[in-house]
Amino acid sequence: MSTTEDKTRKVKLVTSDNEEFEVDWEVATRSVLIKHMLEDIGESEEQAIPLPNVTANVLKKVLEWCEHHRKDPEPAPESSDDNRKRTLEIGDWDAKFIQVDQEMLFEIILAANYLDIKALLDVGCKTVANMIKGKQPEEIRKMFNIVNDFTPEEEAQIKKENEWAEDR
Amino acid sequence: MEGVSAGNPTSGSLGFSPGFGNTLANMLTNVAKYIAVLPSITEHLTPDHQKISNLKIHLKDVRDVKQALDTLSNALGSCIPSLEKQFSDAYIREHYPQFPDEILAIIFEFAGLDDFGTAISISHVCRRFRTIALSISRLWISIRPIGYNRGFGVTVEDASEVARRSQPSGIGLEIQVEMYDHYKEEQPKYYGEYLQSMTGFLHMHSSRIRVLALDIGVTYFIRDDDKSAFENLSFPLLDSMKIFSPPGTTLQHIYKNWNLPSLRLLVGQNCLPELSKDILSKINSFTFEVEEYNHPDDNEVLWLLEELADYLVTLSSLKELKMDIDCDHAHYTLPDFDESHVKVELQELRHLTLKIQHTNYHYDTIMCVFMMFDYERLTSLSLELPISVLPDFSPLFDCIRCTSGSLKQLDVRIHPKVNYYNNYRDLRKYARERILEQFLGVSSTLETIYLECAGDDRKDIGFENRIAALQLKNCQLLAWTRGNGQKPDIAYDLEEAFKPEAGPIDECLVLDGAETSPLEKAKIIRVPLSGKK
Repeated sequence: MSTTEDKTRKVKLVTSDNEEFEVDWEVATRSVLIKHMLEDIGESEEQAIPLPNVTANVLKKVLEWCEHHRKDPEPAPESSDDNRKRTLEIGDWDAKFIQVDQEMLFEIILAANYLDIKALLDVGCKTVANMIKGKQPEEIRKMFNIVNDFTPEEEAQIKKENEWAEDR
Repeated sequence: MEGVSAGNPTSGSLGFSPGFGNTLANMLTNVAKYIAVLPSITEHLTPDHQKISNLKIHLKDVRDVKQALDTLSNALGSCIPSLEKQFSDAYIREHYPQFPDEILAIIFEFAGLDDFGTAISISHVCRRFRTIALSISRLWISIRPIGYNRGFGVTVEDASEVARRSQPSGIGLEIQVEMYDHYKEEQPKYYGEYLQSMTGFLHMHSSRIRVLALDIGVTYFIRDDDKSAFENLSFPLLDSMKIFSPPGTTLQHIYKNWNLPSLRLLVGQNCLPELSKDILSKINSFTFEVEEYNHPDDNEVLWLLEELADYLVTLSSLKELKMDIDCDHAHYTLPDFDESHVKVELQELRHLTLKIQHTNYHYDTIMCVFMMFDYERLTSLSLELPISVLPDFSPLFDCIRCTSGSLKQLDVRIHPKVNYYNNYRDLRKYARERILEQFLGVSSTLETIYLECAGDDRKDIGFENRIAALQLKNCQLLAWTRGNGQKPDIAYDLEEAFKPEAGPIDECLVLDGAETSPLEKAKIIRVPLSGKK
């Protein structure tokens, strides 16, 4: 639970390319990783939080998302993960936000995973999921440059399993 | 320019090397600055013959530049998407397989969400993908076994394998038991075999099944030997069940003795599911849907409003009711309606959805439906109505008395017919005004109102600017009155604020009463229109 004091507090973040960002506590703590680090440091410290796995241009984008979602309810605890509403839909603002090139999308997903921002990770993963949806195995292999490493016997077994789907 | 060669030019042959963009962009920026000041440079030139001579040169320069820029712009227009596509494809190939397993698992779970085919495809890509996919229990809980090797589901044999994949997680299974094609004249023996296998499958996984959809069209073919095993199934965790009867089917409620202690959500499509009084009394949510096929011959669904009312009374714990029905006189036996007409007392009912289909719309029958319920205890009311209802708006809404202030959410959607002739022009604003007057003016505790007419390019619900829906949030705080202060009518103010535009017609105007200045803060969002058919 955040206090009034927390909401006015500023947090310094330092990226892998040594750029410093000063953001509101409420924005920074959308990241569970940063929130835990701040708890470890203690409230009196003015220490900057190092983020060695995130570059400045990616953090800028991530913070844009955090700023927009600063008032969202606290992320649910890990144990309630199974109750998370599963849907492929992406909200209007998020859909526009995630219209970035593949490199940025890839980096946002990695950053959201590292920073532990579940809702942002879901937005990124849904975008990639939509690229896979409805594709046949060979199409997915081609898309991801993946070699079919099943043995002929496994392949035959799998093909049998796949028979109904091929006729869709 | 040096180095230009005939035929297909390359960047080298044209004197460019990768990375030239920044230099060229700087040069073009400087050209822009120079061109911007040209008119002021030439303005003071004298004498005129000198001026004319200079202007000729400058005009030629800027026209040459413009022509080159047009060519450049066209080339960029086709080049950028092509390069972007190549970049995307190559980047995905190179980097996405490097995602750690935990991220791929999230991606696969979303991709396979309610999409068994995609889940299967992912599991067949390579060993790594297969291991990840098989570890995601949620992908393997929704199973639609069929009676054949090919079709829209897995075989019963494979269904067991699929069910095993999600077994360790303890997540409940969602099973659909149905025929492949109701019209296909297959030999009954296939259905018999299918039901025999399905009975075995259901028995084997009965303790895990949480959601079940049963097509009772198949039960017609059950063999006498298998009947007893099928009739005596027990599903301790089953909390949601849908019973579907194809139109024209002889109903055989072969499931009626099942032990279903956890059942709370029940759907009857084309039938009223027969279950023990004890089970029915614990149902919290019931949906009755009528879906007749386009060809009425032999496809009529036999139901009566009186029977439905009697059935509803047995659902004494019912909190949520959805009805999706037509107004054909065949289902309504009483010729007149008055206060003593069919009524159901549902003390616990809080959420009511009435969807009235276009087929055979009749004022007297829809009135029977509206008069069935007591609206005072409802917290949410959703109405989906055919466009034909517009002339009858006032008496219908007179039936909805909500003076207790318990109603918090009202959702009214008008569904236009395809290619219908608009007879309702005079009534279009009236419908909207009628709703707002009744629910916004009096019931000050109402929190949200949503009004929608998907075909509002014909402006049936009243906006002149093609807005298809109106959403009022915190409308208990909205206190608009029109001019003389008599009627609450937002529409006039809104039409002033939102001038006619030829834009998309799936837009919803949202106003929030919690805003200090709701009209200024009003926004337009895109909405998925429910009645766009």
